[in-house]
Amino acid sequence: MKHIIRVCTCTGCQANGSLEVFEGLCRAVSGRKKECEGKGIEIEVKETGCTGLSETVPNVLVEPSGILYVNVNEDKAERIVDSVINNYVIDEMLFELDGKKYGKLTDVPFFALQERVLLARCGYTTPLSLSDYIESGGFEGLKAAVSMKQDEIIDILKRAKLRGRGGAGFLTGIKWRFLKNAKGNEKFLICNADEGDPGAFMDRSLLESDPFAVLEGMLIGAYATGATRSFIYIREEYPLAIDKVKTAIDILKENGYLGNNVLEKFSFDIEIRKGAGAFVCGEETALMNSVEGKRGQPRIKPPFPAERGIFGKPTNINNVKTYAFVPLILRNGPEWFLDKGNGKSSGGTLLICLTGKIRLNGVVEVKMGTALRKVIYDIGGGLKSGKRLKGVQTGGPSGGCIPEALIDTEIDYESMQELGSIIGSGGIICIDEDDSIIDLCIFFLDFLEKESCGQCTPCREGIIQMKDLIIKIKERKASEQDIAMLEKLAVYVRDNSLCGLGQTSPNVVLSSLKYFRDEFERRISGKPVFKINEKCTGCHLCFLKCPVKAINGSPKEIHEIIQEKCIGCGICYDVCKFQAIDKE
Amino acid sequence: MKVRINEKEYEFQESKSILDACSEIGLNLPTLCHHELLEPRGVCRLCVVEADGKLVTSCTTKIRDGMSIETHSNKVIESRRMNLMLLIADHQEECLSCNKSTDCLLFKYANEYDIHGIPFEKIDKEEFEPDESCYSFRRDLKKCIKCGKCVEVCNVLQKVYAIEYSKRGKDLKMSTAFEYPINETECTFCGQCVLNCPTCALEEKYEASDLMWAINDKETVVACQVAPSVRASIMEEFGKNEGITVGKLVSALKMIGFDYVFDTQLGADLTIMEEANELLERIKENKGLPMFTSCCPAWVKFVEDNFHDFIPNLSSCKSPQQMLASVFRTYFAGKLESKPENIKLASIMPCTAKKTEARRYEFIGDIDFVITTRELSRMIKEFGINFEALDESEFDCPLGESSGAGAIFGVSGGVCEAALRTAYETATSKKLEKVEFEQIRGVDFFKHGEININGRVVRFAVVHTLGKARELLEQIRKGEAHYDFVEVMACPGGCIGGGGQPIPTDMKTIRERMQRLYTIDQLKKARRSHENPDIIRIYGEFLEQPLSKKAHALLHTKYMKRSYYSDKKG
Repeated sequence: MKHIIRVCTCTGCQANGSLEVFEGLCRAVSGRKKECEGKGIEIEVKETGCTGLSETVPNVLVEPSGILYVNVNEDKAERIVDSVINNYVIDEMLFELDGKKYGKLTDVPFFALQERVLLARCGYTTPLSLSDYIESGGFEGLKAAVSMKQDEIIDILKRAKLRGRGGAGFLTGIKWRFLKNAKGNEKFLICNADEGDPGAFMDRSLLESDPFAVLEGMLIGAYATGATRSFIYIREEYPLAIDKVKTAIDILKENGYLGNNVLEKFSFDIEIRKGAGAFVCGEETALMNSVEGKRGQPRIKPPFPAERGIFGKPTNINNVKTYAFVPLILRNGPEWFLDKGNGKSSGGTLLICLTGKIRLNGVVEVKMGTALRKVIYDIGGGLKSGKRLKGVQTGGPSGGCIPEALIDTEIDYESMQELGSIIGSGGIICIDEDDSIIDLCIFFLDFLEKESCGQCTPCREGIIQMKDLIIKIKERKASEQDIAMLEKLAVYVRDNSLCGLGQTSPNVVLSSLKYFRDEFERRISGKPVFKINEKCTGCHLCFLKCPVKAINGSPKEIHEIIQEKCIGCGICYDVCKFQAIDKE
Repeated sequence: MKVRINEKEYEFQESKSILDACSEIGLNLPTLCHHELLEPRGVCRLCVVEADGKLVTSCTTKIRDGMSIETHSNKVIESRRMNLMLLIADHQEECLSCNKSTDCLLFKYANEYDIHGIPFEKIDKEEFEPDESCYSFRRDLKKCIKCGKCVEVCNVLQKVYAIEYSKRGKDLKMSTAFEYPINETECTFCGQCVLNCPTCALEEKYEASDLMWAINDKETVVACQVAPSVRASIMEEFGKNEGITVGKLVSALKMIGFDYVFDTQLGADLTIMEEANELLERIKENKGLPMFTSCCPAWVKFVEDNFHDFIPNLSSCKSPQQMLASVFRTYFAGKLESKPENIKLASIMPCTAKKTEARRYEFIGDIDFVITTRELSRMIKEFGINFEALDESEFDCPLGESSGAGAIFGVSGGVCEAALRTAYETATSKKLEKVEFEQIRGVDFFKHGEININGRVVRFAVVHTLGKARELLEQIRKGEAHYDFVEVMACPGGCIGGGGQPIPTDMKTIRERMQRLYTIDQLKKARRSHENPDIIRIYGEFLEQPLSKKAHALLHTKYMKRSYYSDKKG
């Protein structure tokens, strides 16, 4: 009987020692080769793409049994091999949640509740194995595509309602039609893999785990639009992804899937361009400038890329995930894709990066329209700290904060926008009641003030001043007028900035002011600041009386006021019998 | 197409930007980054308007039939005010002690948009030290509002690439390569960045106060020379289109205390005498063609920096400023009783590059001060001179008489035209029926023509802006263009659009200045340099003849290959 032991070797898993695990497993297998032969067992250790469960890496998957071992290290390799040979399950290495152990990967709620379409190969195939790819349905989409007319392909994408997964959410079919109809002898495709949001790594994961799928999507795009050249723009910080894509391109070329006369129908070439790590280069026109060797700053639109894009030629830009969806849609049909949505403007599934205070962080895939609650509690296992969820920040620096009260919202383009946030590239950062919204705003504004290209006034100067105003509020030096000015400034930056980065940069501020305004208001200067001094006897009275639970401390110990939460009401000051509270 | 602007309907024939459409109907929208010769960039965001209810930048949005535009709705005004407040928070305000505050666009708009009190923290700009390294201008990033106009002018209009954007976001700044001092870069000091900087982040180096000290020193004889373009634009500094004649300008200079006032147009006539004959010689020997003019110091440095193979093609003639200075120091100063060190010469130029030219090592000691048109206007204002009350005065003799050919040196095409007038008549001994060469007049960036001189067809071309010069040089290098004589001026329109000229200088003012110089030419008795009586006298008494040994020693110069970066940091 043949067993396969799969170990993910993506960047995140490697950082946690998965290569050592891989080597350990290989050593263990070869050490027991004779024994295996004797028993008629064949064991193969294979590198795979990432399952997405980043919390417990390195993860090891044993097939065909489907057993998942988590938090594996080199020392445990021997035991895993032994368990395969002797056909038993190592209990203590299984995934455990809330006291329950799960043997099979597919039983783990983190996986069982997902709708893995884009991630279907991730964890189950070897990323650079063309045979693995083809066996699992690879190039069926391309083959279906080349049997159709260009317009038919574009039509299918339109019917499938595939919206761009990079953030803006433009309908891919329409974009492709623009390029197809654009005049010009040379047309370009670009794959935007400049994933720059803090806390987002699904594009990297996909490129490392299933590079052929992205390339196949681009090939279909080339055939459907008549593009002959293309670039994949990957950020320099993703060396492994760059390596894998590079090798994948070489493999495709050797096998006739790239270059001249692909499937005897068309010619297409893909080049890699490395980004130097500027967030703004994820904006499509800045990206084009960067590929051209120019300073990465957005261009004025119109003209749109389909008219005058890279090197002045008609160009189409899509995100990694968007391209990866295309072969699936052509293979399974638009209805299949629509069925993965919730009947609104977009079909398909959604890749989400769960990070922050969540118990199980990682990359997950759910149907469009899945409720936030399900993603956080059922798939993500709730909060790590066991504390109350305060809210989630979605969409990266361009997104906003959604409070816990709205956690039943379904994740789709419309609902997120209604709440003042966006899906963006799909990042969800969970924060708990200990986290300060003000600090969160400062974090993102700090990121943006450095990552703005700086060419237009509202974005360059506005972000600096929004951040300064919030710091002023944090330091309790601000007045009510400052909060009003902050709001006004945020609206100004949103309405006046040149590109998407600037226009969405105030989302975090505006949504925070919308849902967490009291956190800002309670810091208005003039309101007294209370502090507990050494006279505190630990009588615990203030703790009991505080209306916002802003006091920490156990009986008979010196208590402490959590300034982030304090609203300055003064009740603690009034009830203290030991003059242990100072009013400043 | 019909467009409603502020609830009134207007008809426009062709598609254009909202900004241009508004300007056409007499509404000048505020903008900090727009340059009419460059593609709109829409980065300052000050020109926003509401078009069909949507906030858009008027410079980058084209009008459409049926469009409804609000240029001053509450939303628009609020946006512009917020924009200005943000910029002021990032600008070092020293308005009372700032030389450019009267020309400062930020100052002007802040005033117009009723800004008082900035609700934001001032951004600390202490880290920036002003770059004082060159003679022509100062760069002070403390006052930079990052509109990027200097970079665009330098890289797109001039294609000099001396400054670029560096870093991003809040750290964005306009920088030279490796942050070298500007005088260690390929900057030509043309001053277009200075002219276009909306604030005082770029300003010319003021020499007027030092000059005033010299004037007030009774021991010192101070003479000055006035370039043609100064008289074409100085009235703009006083809000006038006419009425300030050359004669009144000379009176004002005398009133300020200059002992002698000479005319750079005579220097221009000298240049033509030499350059026209040099051209004829080169054509005869068929060597060193095309010959390039060398009056423009920015252009000369541009060739020295970037096109070493074309250095032999530059005419060896000094510029009019330097020719006049040479003749002044030798021919004229010899007649004065003062000691040579007590004789000072100032030149009043439309140009910032002239400041640097006067300090080229070959020329050291000839000229002591170079002030721009703007500096002169400040001196006149400081004196409180009322032009209306002034009489007309003549330039001093014998370096004061000039021909019409000398006057048109200030406009693009003028040097070429002046040289052709003299070259043709000298070579053929025939009079030109028409001295105007219409094909090389006007503001087109590339003009050309040909003339038959004794059976030899001489092809000539005229370009202005260094960007166009670069294109032409590359064509010549590739063998795609063939000319015998090429005139290059670094600034749009020629010296009249120079970096030292009044602010604003736009194509409209450039056309007006051009017309003023052509009118001066038209009214001159002598239209050709070789007809100028002072020229005849100087050659008769002193220089013998064009290209003589003496003329070569005094009026010609050499050029050098320059290079940067490679010999430094790797």
